[in-house]
Amino acid sequence: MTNLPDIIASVTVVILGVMLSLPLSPSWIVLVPVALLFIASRFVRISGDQSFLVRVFSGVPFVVVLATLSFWGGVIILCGIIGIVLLGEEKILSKDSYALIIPVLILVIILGAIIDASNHMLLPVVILTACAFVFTGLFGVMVYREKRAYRCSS
Amino acid sequence: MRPTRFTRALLVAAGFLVLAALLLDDPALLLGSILLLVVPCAAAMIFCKRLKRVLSAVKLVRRVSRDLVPQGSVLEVEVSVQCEVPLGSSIVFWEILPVDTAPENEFPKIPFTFSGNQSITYRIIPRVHGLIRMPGTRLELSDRFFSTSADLTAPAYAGPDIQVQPVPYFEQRKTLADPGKQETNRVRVFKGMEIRMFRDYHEGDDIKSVDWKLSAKHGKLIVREYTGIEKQPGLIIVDLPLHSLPRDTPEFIRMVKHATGEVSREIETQGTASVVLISGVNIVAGLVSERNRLHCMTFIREHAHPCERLYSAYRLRMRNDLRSLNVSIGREKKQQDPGTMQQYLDHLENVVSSGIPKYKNPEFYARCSLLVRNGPSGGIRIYSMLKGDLSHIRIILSIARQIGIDVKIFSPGLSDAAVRSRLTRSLGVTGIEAIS
Repeated sequence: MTNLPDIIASVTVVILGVMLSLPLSPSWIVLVPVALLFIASRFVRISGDQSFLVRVFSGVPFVVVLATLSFWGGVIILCGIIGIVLLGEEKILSKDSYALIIPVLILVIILGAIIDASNHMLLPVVILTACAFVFTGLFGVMVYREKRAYRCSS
Repeated sequence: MRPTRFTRALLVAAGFLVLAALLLDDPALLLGSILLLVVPCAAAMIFCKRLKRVLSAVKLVRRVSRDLVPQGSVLEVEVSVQCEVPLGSSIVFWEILPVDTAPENEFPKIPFTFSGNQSITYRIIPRVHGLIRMPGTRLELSDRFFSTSADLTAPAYAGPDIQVQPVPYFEQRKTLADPGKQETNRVRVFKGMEIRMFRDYHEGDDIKSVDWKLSAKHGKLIVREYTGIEKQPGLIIVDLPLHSLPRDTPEFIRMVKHATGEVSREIETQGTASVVLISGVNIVAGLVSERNRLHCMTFIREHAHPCERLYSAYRLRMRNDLRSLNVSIGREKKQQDPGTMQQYLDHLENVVSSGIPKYKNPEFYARCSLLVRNGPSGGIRIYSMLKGDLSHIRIILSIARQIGIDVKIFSPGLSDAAVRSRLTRSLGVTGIEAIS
């Protein structure tokens, strides 16, 4: 059972991004198939983890098309899709984990601002890679510390 | 923390998008890759929190059937685990066994898909004497994004201690009435080069074997006792058919005559012979007197072979297992059709016999290994009807193959070439000689 208010909020954000992009769009017709693809992925029922994978991957063309039309519209859509994907999936986030999604969204907006401000994509890619490494190292250390507490000290 | 295939797919796709964004200098593609990167990052944060919660909620109690055991005996361990399983995750507990112990069957594990309490009982065999401490358990947590394992070896999860004593501590004390009955390292007429022990001089000992230096040191006569030398003849194994099969068939009589002739020839030429009888005792028939241990053992001895044996290896399940099997089959039989006692015993025998090839008994394997390794320098000859369960012959063949001992199989009544080639292939031997 998914959390209905969260899904409604996320869908509203997605619609807001679409509305922002539409006035600037010279070819808004492309939006229709990618939006339909994303909506259809919500109803796909495949066994195991594959349905979740389909949902995440179907969001990518939606974000790319919208960001091509209007970059900040794409950023807002990205935040909305992250909300739909993560909050809509009960197995990923429980109620006490809402606090985790806020820093994630803030990070996305900061990265969006850096990408928008850059003339070339090299600097944002370097920052993105550095962020990924910092995350990996941080969680590696956290998990190691957690495990060490239950291990025999000798 | 290991990423699953699912996470790896997301990361690879994100990598392609980043590369495309870099080459095409397109911010939209980079934004698309962020979506694919954010999901595993959020999942990693959740996984870390889950691991913390799961580890703090684990409660484990471990009990052993005895805390003082002889080396090589079977010890029963009961583990009860209480665990909280987060939604969408699965947990498996693997018991960490102490060094120099072996599980009786497969490695003990407790899988969890829902929160709750579970317990398992497993058996281990301590191989080395000394104080053994159960080290703890290993927890494996996995969800769709990540999996990790954590060793729970802190004092709260370890223990209890088991004192393993050497086997001789549990042996019966020797009495003067039957001296040398438990002696294995026997003294022979022909002496070896090695000194097996020093002992006090007794009247009649050879004066040449007195160790004068030690005698002077201790102020009494001490003699050297040398190791004996014995010749190792070839091993003759006779696989007797099941008790239920007739033993007056011409094939069986022919096989017995051939094997007897071989033993006789071995004694004439070598002076001694090593004979192993695989007799297939019908343990089920002894169930009636099973409650009385003395009666049961007498039954086994009488039916196995009417003579004393140097080595015995029983390929049976544990007594507890046999008893519970007996109870469960009895209950099932009573519900369906009670029948006569003989029908019940026949049914039970079928169940036990069909389970023997699947049952791995490390003690039986170790005894067979000892027999084959210490025994024959002149090869092994196996006489068998080659009917029914042949798993015990396969065990002997596999050990012999490991050491590189030559094995010949003789069987009567194998006139059909197709049957012979099928058996040859199934046993993995070069050929089976027919007894004519």
